[in-house]
Amino acid sequence: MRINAVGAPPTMPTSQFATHLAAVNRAHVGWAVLYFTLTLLLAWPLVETHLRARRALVDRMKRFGDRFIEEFERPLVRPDAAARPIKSRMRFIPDRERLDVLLAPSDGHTYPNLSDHRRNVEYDVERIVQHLGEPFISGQLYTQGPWVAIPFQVTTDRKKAGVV
Amino acid sequence: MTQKTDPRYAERVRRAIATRFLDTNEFSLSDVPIEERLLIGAATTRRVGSRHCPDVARQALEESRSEIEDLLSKYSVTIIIGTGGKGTGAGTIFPLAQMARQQKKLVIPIFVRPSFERHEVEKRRYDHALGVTAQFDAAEIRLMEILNDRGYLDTDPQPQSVVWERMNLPIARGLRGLLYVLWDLSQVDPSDLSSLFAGPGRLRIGFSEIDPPTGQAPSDNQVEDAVRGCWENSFYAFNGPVGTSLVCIQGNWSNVVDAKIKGRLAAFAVGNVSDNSYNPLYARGLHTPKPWGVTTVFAEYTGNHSPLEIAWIVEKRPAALVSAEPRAVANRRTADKARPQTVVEPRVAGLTREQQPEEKKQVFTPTFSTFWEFAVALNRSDPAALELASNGIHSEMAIEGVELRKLLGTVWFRSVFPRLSKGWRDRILQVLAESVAVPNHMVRVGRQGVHVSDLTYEQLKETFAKTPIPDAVRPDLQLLLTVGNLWGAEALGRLRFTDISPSQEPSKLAFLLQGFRH
Repeated sequence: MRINAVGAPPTMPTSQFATHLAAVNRAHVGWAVLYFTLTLLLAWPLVETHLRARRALVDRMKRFGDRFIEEFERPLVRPDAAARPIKSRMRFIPDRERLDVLLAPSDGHTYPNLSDHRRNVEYDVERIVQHLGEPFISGQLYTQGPWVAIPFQVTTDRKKAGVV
Repeated sequence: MTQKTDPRYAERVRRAIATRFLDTNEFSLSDVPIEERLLIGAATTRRVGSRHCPDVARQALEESRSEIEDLLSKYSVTIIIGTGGKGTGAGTIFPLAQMARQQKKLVIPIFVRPSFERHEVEKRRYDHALGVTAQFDAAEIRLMEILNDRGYLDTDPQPQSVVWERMNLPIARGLRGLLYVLWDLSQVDPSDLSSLFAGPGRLRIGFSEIDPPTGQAPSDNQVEDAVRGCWENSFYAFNGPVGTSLVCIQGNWSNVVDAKIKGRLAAFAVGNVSDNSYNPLYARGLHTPKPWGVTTVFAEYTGNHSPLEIAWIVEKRPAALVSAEPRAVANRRTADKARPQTVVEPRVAGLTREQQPEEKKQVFTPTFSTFWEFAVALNRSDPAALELASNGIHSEMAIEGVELRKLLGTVWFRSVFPRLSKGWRDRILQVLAESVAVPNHMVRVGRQGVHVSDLTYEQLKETFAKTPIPDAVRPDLQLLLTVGNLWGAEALGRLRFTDISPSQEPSKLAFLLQGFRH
């Protein structure tokens, strides 16, 4: 036996409510899924383009970074030493079209550093950017722990980047 | 020192060598004896230097080109020493070497690569110095490259003067030893030098003094220290394995000591590598004044290269390098007979009329018991041998096939050959054809196996250059190439080939795998 409180609105029986709710939810969920799917289908080309462009940009930055490090390292290689003369890292910030190349001397070397070789590092960066001729311009060098950080910005101005 | 111990010898060496200090800055030359100064590009630089600009230095050199070329033309060997720090050294060392090469001179450049990490120069200068060495490599001119970076040891800091002493002394003494070698050996073999300096790559030079107590032989420890001193020199850029090299021993001691020196050097050069490329040319300095010791010139192995074409000035050409197996014999003969004067300065000018006939009589008496001995004497420009070579075809000297074959395997015989008359050449070829049988090896030409007897001279050359040749076949192929080179391609047709039994022939599988063995 069900006992209702005095003045309380009449309530639906629990089983009925659940059934109703399930019907409503199913409809909503169905609509939501349909909406989401359609949105995704319509937006996918845009998303894909964005992701692809981002991936391409990172690839480009990585290729440039690799070439930069290789060219930086080339004159420093000692004929009799198997170890690499510098340590290197790269940091990608594709949203800002920025690449940071971080370099530090390996054991037994003193170059690169900005404390007593700032002019040489600046010369090297300029030389290599000119040599590579890719649309990247370098920013202000700075030190980050043991690393010399060389920030690069992607540019569409090839002349500015050293390509004539 | 030489002046004190042997003034006559010192005078002869002095006459043979010219030293010039070349600069664009007149003030830099003020400490140098006047006769040794060579100011270049006076108009280009106004005598005050190249303003640290290699291009200006190059222009200055161009301005003085005729003067330099005239100087170079008088000598067979040119040693150029330059630093890559500023303008003149970096800008002129390579063009100078090229000038010498164009005149077919033997050129030995010594280039100092400065250190930028230790702030001797800026990185820009350092990179330019690297560019200079790249030019040498591209032009296939071997050079000695000194790395100043190696002079800074954090674990053993020393004053600069001490470091310079450590760096320069072995070079200076090594060069002195090399000059004695070039000047005072009795068995002349220019073609060995042409091979030693051929191709790109680096050289390194060393000298270690051996000073045994009077009347005693050097001890084993002295030998060991000397060899180690020659071998270990950390200041050179020298990356690859050691290839053709010159070892010159100077000192009055036994051949047993010589053998120990050679053996220890070979042990260092070969190390644990089974397929080594070490090819030493031994030379023995005779009658050289003290300090005695070992001089070595090691060449980096960068492959097989054709010998350089050098225009040797015959009257004053450099001394002999005794090569390959017959060294011991040749050295012994040299020790018995040779006198430095006969090689480099035939005594002609000062003779009186009475003396001359007697001298002539001595000179033209052929006293060679074997063909080998005759060839060695010819290589030394011995007058008697030269006379015999030009018209002594009816000499009763025996020519043995085995000896002849060995002789043809030496590099130095190539410079002897042109001195033989046509009659001699025909006779030698005749002996070769009659007494030497060449195994008719199968070699790979493209994808096919061909017997060497079926190959033309051109095909032989190409096969030898481009195809890996098994060690067992190589000497025979080299003999054929030498015959083709000396007598012409048609001479190959006169040689006798012997078939190889099937068991000696490589299997088809082995044949196919030839290319993978090297």
